[in-house]
Amino acid sequence: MDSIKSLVTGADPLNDFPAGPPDGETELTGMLTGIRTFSDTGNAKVVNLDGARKRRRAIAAGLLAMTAAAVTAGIVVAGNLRLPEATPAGPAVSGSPSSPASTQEVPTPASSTAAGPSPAQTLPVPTLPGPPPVVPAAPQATAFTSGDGKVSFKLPAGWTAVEEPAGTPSYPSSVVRVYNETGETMSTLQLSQGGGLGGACSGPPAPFSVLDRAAVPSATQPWAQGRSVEFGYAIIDETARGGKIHTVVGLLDAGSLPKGDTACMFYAAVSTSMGMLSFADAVQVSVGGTGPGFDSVAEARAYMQTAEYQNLKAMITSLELNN
Amino acid sequence: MLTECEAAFVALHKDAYPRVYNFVLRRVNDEELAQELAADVFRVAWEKWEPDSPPSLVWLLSVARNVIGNAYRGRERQRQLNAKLAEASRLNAAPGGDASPHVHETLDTLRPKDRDILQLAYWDELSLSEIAAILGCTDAAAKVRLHRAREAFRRAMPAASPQYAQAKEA
Repeated sequence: MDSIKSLVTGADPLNDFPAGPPDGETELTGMLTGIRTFSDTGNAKVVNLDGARKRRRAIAAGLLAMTAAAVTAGIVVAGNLRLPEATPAGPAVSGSPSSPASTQEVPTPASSTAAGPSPAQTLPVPTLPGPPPVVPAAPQATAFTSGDGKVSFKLPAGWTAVEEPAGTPSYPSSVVRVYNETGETMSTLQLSQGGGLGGACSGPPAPFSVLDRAAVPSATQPWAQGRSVEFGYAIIDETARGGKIHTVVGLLDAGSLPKGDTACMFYAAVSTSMGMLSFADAVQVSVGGTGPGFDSVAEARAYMQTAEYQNLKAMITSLELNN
Repeated sequence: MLTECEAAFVALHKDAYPRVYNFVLRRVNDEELAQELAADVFRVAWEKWEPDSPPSLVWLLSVARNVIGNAYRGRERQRQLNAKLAEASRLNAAPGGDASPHVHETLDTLRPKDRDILQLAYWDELSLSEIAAILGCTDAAAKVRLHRAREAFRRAMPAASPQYAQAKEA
């Protein structure tokens, strides 16, 4: 008999819970139908089974409505194309006999009283059920303040911020890593009085663009005055040569970003009176990057609609520094 | 009418929920919290669901480790949890002869990686391959780590325990 195995097994905490685990099926049913408050409440990316069915039904209904609208519009257009031959006097009431299309766009009051059909009146106004609205980030952010009180920002609900030891007495630094609900690193804040930025291009330039930008309210604070600090979502697109789209979401210095529409490297860092500041998911973005990236600009743009991106944006733009 | 994915998810939940719940409960010692965190694990599974490769039990347990890690990320909170586990064991120990309190104290003195692998092997009854998959190492490395953890446990087991000599001799 393996005594160590026996000892450890004998100390299994489950022995203190003789009731056993809940039934998986019952628990799932309860989770989907009952009123429960779990830590995942409000995560817009997660759709429960019922929600998924509703969404599919809405999309199917939307497609049907669009098909019906397209068919109706086709009939109307066909009717309009024949209209000048069949009823030459009809369009004349709008004062544009040579242009049947204009009668659709500029119906006159006279046309409503004129005899015969008026294309402007027969055009349907389909009300299409649009795609499910983007649910904004849950407004349950908590305030995070670093131990030394220098850094504070609003932490999205369910996310955690962990301070890491950094710097020396001569060159104090603050490093705060932000994790999402599943433990993935979302962003890192680094404020350092020592060190600097360096690096070299590892390949030819590729298309560069900033997909989203927003003013940082804290730009009115002393630390940011006189500097072109902004929130930004910037990309380097290497898809044309078989690579990925490398992205960064964070604080950018608009003044030091690449001036043209191509770049081989740029930094998500800002120089402040309190030291070099970076609050982003990467400090440096360059061509030839090996990390995960998007396969197309459309994908990169679609990321902006996610709750994760909205949370990042809200968190980063809430940054305050206290010197 | 459930889609194929939904039906597969329901089946996975039914089969794997007890293992995931027990895995979490062993490490948080709180039934309500265990329910919440186990639900979190399946939420992640649904979110990451790939029709071609539904998650395995090992994958679910790996997520559970991360979810528990988030709940008890701070070292101090982890220490308090271990103390709570030991205290609960002490309170529930039958008078005379139950080694659980000593075992918990001994586990608490081990390095986290040693404690972890002993729990995976003997509480969760996972095979070396499953442990290797969860820890992200090779089967051989898992075997070596378990051997070292056992040695560390053997050295750390207090002499006051009635099972001490037995463990030393084994």
